[in-house]
Amino acid sequence: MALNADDEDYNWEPPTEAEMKVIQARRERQDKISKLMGDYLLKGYKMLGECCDECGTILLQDKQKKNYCVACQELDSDIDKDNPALNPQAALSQVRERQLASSLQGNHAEPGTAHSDPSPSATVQPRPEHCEGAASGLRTAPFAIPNSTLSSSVLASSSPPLPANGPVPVFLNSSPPGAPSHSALDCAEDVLLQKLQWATRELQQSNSVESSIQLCNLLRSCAESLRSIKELQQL
Amino acid sequence: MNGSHPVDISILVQVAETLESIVSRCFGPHGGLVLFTKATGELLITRDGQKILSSLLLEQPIAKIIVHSAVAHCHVTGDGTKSFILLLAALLRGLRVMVMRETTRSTGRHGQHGLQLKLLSDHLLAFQTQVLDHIVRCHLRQCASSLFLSDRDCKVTRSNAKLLLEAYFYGKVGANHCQSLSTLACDYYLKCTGGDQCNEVVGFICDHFEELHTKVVGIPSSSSRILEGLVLHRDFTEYWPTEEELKILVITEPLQPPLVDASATLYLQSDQQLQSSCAWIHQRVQEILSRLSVSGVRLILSSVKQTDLVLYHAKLNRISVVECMDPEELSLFCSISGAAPVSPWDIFLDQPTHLAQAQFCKSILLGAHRYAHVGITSKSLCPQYCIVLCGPVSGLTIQCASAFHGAFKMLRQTLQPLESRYGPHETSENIELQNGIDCVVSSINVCPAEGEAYGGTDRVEQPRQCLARNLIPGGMHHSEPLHFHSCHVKEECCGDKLLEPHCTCNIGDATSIMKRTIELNAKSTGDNSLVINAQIDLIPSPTREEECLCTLIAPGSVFPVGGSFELLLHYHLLKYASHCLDPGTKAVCNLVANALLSIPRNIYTAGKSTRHFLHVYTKAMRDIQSEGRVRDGPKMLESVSCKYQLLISTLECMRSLICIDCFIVGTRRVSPPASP
Repeated sequence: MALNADDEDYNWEPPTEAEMKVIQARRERQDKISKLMGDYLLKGYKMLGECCDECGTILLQDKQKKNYCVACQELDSDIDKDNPALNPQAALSQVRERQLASSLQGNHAEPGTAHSDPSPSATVQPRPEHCEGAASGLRTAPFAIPNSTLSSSVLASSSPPLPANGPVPVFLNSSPPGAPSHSALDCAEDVLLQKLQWATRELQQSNSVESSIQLCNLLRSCAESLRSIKELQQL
Repeated sequence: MNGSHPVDISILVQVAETLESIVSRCFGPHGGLVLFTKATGELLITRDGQKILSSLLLEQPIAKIIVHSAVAHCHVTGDGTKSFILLLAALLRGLRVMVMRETTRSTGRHGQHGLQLKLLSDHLLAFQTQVLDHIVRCHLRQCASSLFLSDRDCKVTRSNAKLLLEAYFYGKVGANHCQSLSTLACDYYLKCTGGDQCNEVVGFICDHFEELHTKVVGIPSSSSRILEGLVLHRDFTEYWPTEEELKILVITEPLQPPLVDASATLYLQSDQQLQSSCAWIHQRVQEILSRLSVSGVRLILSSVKQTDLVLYHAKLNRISVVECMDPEELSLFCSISGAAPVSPWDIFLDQPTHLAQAQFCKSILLGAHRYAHVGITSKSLCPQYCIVLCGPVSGLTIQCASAFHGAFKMLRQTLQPLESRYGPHETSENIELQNGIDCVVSSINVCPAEGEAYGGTDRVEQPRQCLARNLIPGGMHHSEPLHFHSCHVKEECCGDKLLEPHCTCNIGDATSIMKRTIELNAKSTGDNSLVINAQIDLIPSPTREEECLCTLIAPGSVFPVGGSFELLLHYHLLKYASHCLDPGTKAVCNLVANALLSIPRNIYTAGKSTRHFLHVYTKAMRDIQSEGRVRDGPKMLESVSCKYQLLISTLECMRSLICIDCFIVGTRRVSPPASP
């Protein structure tokens, strides 16, 4: 094939460590893609004749006729795994780290009075659902309420939307929240309290079981939101 | 979606690797089963490569080509779909490395792969025709053992057949059913052929396997057995048990004459005319059946439904009737027994001829169905036994039946001699010793003109016995110029002229040829005369020994299982590549040699660790270097010709794939061709 193969071979050097790692990583990625595609084919997916525009992997089609790229939608989320905006676990780990840092600081600064403060915040861990809510709040439209487990339709129809950037900036910014976010937190707190009062009134007046259940859910989520806001204010 | 999609080597590799990841889970003796959800929602649990690949939903044309080639290969040899995919994936991976290296080195531009791939496909063809055949003929043939007792006596020993079939079933159905199926297959083969090498019988079994076997569901597989005679997959409409010899009539039309023919019109003017017509019909039927009874016919096999009147009279005459038979089954019955379908008018007018002879005819209950069991007296060399295959579930039974069928296809392939498709086929009647021998120069090296002999002793092959008698001892002095017909002179980079192998040259004086390697001084167009060491293969004349030269792989050649064929071929290819001058052939040899290792690697890799494979590999290389064969392998055997066929099919599939530039997707559906 190559007529000058032998000449060029004299200039060849073995790849360096870094290059080897890159080659190895690429090979592993290819192997993973092949394995995933094989699994999907065995589940009944169809292999199409087209390739993905972004990564060049062959597209699969599931039974609902939806096209699916294995590399883009499954493998590349490895990079996003550390992005707290998109992953609740990452957000949780960041919050824990910050709490640990602040409790250490508090212990150094005011050993006496600070004990009571960090301990409730240390014992009450923000649950992943909150972080999940924060993450989904970032992903979806700003009208959705970040920390609520209810569907947004019930709330959006009845009340003005809460600002979505309430507790979220804490997870995004690495620096501690400054003055503007304090006012945002207070704002959020006020609105939540208003919502709580409204919901209590509605609950008194409601006749159907379904709406009562939903209002109780709303009350619970408002209370939880308030609790998290209080914790954030203490950070 | 319309449009043309360019095909790159990376797409080929991706498709091949995806299929490889599916197939490697169930490959080899330790492979597992694959759970597959079909489009209809039903589950399929199998390890049959052909079934898995055919069930995948693939719209990618490359994948469809690969699957089609693999399945077509399996139809011929009965096995090897998974090995095909593994080998193809390894070859394409190696190819991608070669192509990437080429483009980055030579032009630095990517996307010039098409030209390299086309060049490579030419080299592949040259590799198949020259190198592979040569290596198989010279090196691998010596290491293969034979299924037969001895060269002259072409009887297959029971133990050898059992080892071959055991290896096959181990890979096909796993360890559970391997023993029972291989014993059954061995018994069936020996019963049908009597141990002699009967390719026709095995071919007959392969072609008519559907009719020769019966699947029974709901009974444990240990109840599978061989039955004498033939089981007709229909129950009796009328049954009179007979144990003595009987004659059988085969008929494809209704025995009762119709009231009117299809093309004619019957005018009836009164009821009485109708009555008399019907009475005539009754009488005819009665006569026909009594004539049959007189001739000794006790069974009528009909492919159409007979009327009640016929059945009534058959009952009166004690004749059994089987109706609505499958046409294929009926034709099989006719070919085994020598009977032919008879027309009713022949019976009426004359004594019926072409009746089949049988020893018994009875009803048999297999599972939930009752069938007719007939013991045929066969004159021709046809199998007189049939198989009953049982299984607890229908999926397993179907799998065992197809494995059984594949085993016989593999046997047929093993017992046939494999001829070289590309070897010297000119059958010159007489080798003319007077005017010079037309010989085929199979490999040529070029050396400097100082008379320095080429040092590689590997090029000098041991002359085969059949050629020795044509070589006349004498001094080697040849001063006449060589006449080269139909050869190409190729420029090498260093300016030497390299003659393309397999050109024919006429060597003036036959008496001057002493040994296979001769030194010829030939004048090139340059100033220096070159010394050419040529290896001469004489074109064989059609005597028995020379037929061996054309036959690449003798019938009944087997190798021990576990990758010994691949390891041997790998070793010899690497050796050939190290001595080869042509860079294209060298690259292809290396490519194929490395790809061949993927099969034993998959056999011996347990989990992620390749330690066992490396151990086996180093030991095998050492053995081949010292003794020329692989020792201490598993005792079971596999067919050489199937393995060789696998390699050839894979190389041809790869060649057809790399020549594709792009595919165009159209909107109209093309109906798929009927499966063979």
